[in-house]
Amino acid sequence: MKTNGETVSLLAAAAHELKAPLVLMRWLALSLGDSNLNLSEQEKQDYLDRLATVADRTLRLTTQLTIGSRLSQTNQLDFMHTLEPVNVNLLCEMALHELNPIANRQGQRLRFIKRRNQIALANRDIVHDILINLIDNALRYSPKNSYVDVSTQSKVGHIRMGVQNLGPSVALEDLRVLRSTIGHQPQPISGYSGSSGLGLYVASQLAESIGGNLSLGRPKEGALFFVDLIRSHQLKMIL
Amino acid sequence: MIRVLIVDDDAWQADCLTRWLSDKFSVDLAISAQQALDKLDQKRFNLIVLDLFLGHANGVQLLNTLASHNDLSKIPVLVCSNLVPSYRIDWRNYGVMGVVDKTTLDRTSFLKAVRNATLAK
Repeated sequence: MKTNGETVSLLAAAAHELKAPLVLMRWLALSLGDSNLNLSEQEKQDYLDRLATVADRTLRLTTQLTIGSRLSQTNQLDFMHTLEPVNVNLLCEMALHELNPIANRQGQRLRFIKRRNQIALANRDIVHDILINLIDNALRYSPKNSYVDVSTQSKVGHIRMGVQNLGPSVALEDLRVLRSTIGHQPQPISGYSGSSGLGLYVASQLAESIGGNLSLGRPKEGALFFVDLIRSHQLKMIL
Repeated sequence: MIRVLIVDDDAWQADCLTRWLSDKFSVDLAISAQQALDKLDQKRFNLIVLDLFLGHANGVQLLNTLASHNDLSKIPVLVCSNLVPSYRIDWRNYGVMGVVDKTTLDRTSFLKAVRNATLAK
């Protein structure tokens, strides 16, 4: 259960993250309605596409907040009861398919580095939410014409999902702070302007609710987030 | 034509502001403090429109840098941020000629603020 301090921190992070997209949506709407601007048809279409993209992202953020508040009220054991073997590769493909239109709109590409079927003991909906959260964040902070890579791999006792983007690298000081605070409160990352760390915080809470954990790597370029899930042994003989 | 440098790392927000100004001003964009300094080295600007939340070095750090250079300190600055009410700071110490809140900004008020800031120094 969250402390008062953690709740206040979460609310502050949520308010901060909601401001920027709402400001942009307002400006785009004002611009589209301003006949003095003489926008071309292509400009109007671009602005409408951006409105859709930003609205989608803001809705996902509110979904994360709902999940985050639900997690604070329920016992972790409630989720443990609904754990089942899930095909992590399949869930990655579904998440990529869902976010591909957004990536295309922003001139980015999503890649899946797939290894043999990875079966985790997890909750399908929660793994889906974690992936959407991390990939959406990666798209947000990646430059145009870059790739966001999603990967799965087998580790001893667990399955690891990785999301890497080629945006700003996470500074070493930030990495140290993040690694110690990530499960406790939202923590902004310098170089990732406009972010309060809310997405990572919620992803971390979701991972913990199913017995997993969220960590950060430090690649040469960009940022790497990975989630370790409990490996399922039930289907090992079949697959 | 009056030359304006917009410093904002949110590309779509910056694009809106650019579009609002482009009929009456010559506009350039920098997405980071370092890029802003590079552009200021290459061209002469009449006004800097500055967001405070930038990646790595933030807007206040950039203001400090501008203030420490004789030529750059003469360029008026208009702060344009959605965190303005949270900052308790005497902007005049940084050569800031105006402050606008993104959350309530529209094209008319932005044009007015730009004109006022350009004339103020």
